[in-house]
Amino acid sequence: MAKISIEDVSFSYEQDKKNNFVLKDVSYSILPGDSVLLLGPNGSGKTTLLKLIMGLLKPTKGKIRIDDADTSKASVFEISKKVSMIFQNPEKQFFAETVREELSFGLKNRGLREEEIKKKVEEVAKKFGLFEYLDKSPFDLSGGEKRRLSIASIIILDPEVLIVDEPTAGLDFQYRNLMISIIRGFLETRNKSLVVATHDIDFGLRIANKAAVINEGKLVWSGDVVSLLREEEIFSKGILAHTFTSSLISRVISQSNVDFQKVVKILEELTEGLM
Amino acid sequence: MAMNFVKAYQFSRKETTIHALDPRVKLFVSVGVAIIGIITLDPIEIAFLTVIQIIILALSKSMKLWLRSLKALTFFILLIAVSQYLTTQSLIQAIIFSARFILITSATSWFFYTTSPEDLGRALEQMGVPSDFSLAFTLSMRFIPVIANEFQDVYDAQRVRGLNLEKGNLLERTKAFLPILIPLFVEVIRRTYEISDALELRGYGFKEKRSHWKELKLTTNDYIFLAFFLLTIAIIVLHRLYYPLV
Repeated sequence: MAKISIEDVSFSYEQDKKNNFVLKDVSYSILPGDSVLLLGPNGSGKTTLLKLIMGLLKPTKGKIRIDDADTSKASVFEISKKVSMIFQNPEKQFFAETVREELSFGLKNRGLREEEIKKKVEEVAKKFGLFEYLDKSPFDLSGGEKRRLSIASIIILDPEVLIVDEPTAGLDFQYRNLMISIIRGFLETRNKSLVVATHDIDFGLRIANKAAVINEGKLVWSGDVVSLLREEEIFSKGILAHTFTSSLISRVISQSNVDFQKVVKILEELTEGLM
Repeated sequence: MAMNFVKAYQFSRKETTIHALDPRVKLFVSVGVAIIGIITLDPIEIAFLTVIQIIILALSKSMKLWLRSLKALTFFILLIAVSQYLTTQSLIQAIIFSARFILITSATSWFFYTTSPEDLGRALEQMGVPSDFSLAFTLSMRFIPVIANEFQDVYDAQRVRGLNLEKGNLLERTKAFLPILIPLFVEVIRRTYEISDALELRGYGFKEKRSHWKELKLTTNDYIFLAFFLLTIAIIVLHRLYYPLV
């Protein structure tokens, strides 16, 4: 399974203004099995970092390696064999006439055989509750179905590393929970890793085991999620907008020695009971 | 990719004399220079006008933008030079034709660098263009960079799913654009509806004649700029009279 190392990466969108950096000297490693929560305010450079990992952007300085391959030298097509990315508003990428075609797009690009594609498409469609819509137009689906289809079209590629940008923006509770179960389902396979950028800390706490905080293009903190909750400086002041649940968890674990996973579990059960 | 090309004509807000000029005057001068550029074949006239364009670009602090746009247009400049050379076998001809192209694009580019879409719309309206047309024109100008960004987003999303535009023969490559163009059109049409709703919500079309927050009025600087332009034309006419091109 893939290991990603980000080594002293700086990035500027304007090639001629080399000091106008969106990211500055970021170093971080994502190991197999890591589920990293990438936090930071709007405009802090989260999406840029995700695009750099995916190879859609190339670092102005420094290197990103996926296993041993340098992303500056690899094409997105090469990188996409190991890493895949779900964008914000992924429904915008639909083009095919049927859901089946939409789901097979990535596999066709990889040159898989027809029967193999058919088998995989039906398997994933069943898993995502889209089987009965296979011959419908993706544009005729409801909002939630569209979101499921767009995620299924990435999960079907079976990446080793999944990158997700703002997965819960604009989603209601039901789809937020669906998102959690999809991501957990993905992480069930051993040594797959995940990087998720979000403002939704409550959501993040339920899927991540590591966290990294960026502010103004700099990596200001990284470590385990649990230790993040104990970081008064970062967690409760300024950079992160903490929500009710995350503050509650933070308070509970900082005042006692209870297990973080257990607290999350209990709160989850409680909230599900309320809904 | 798409962005570089768009940037060649994108407005950038700066505080300079040229930016502050009346958009009608700028439009007149810019179109005037472009027309002379199309008519003339005289290398001296082309050089003279290009120098003036460079002065205007420098005054409007847009030299960097201009150089970048030239870089984006290199392909076309070379294409013109090579095709001219191949058809006429004359190196001078090839140089003159590409220089003319540079002159015409420079004259139009400083106009777009220094004139905001709103100003352009206002100029058109005060020149008698119906307000619906000028609004449609302004909006479409304004959405070019937005659509270019959108194009990049969809392109990225499909590349992640393994789309490769650099593979296969011409037909295959053209077909490979469909997964980008379809979502792009869907999004553009959706946005169009949104904008027309937003316009209506804010009362657009409620009154037949729109009033304006700012009325355009010629200032001293505008007259000076126009005078310089007329002087330039006079010099070119005199040059023609005394040194006609054979």
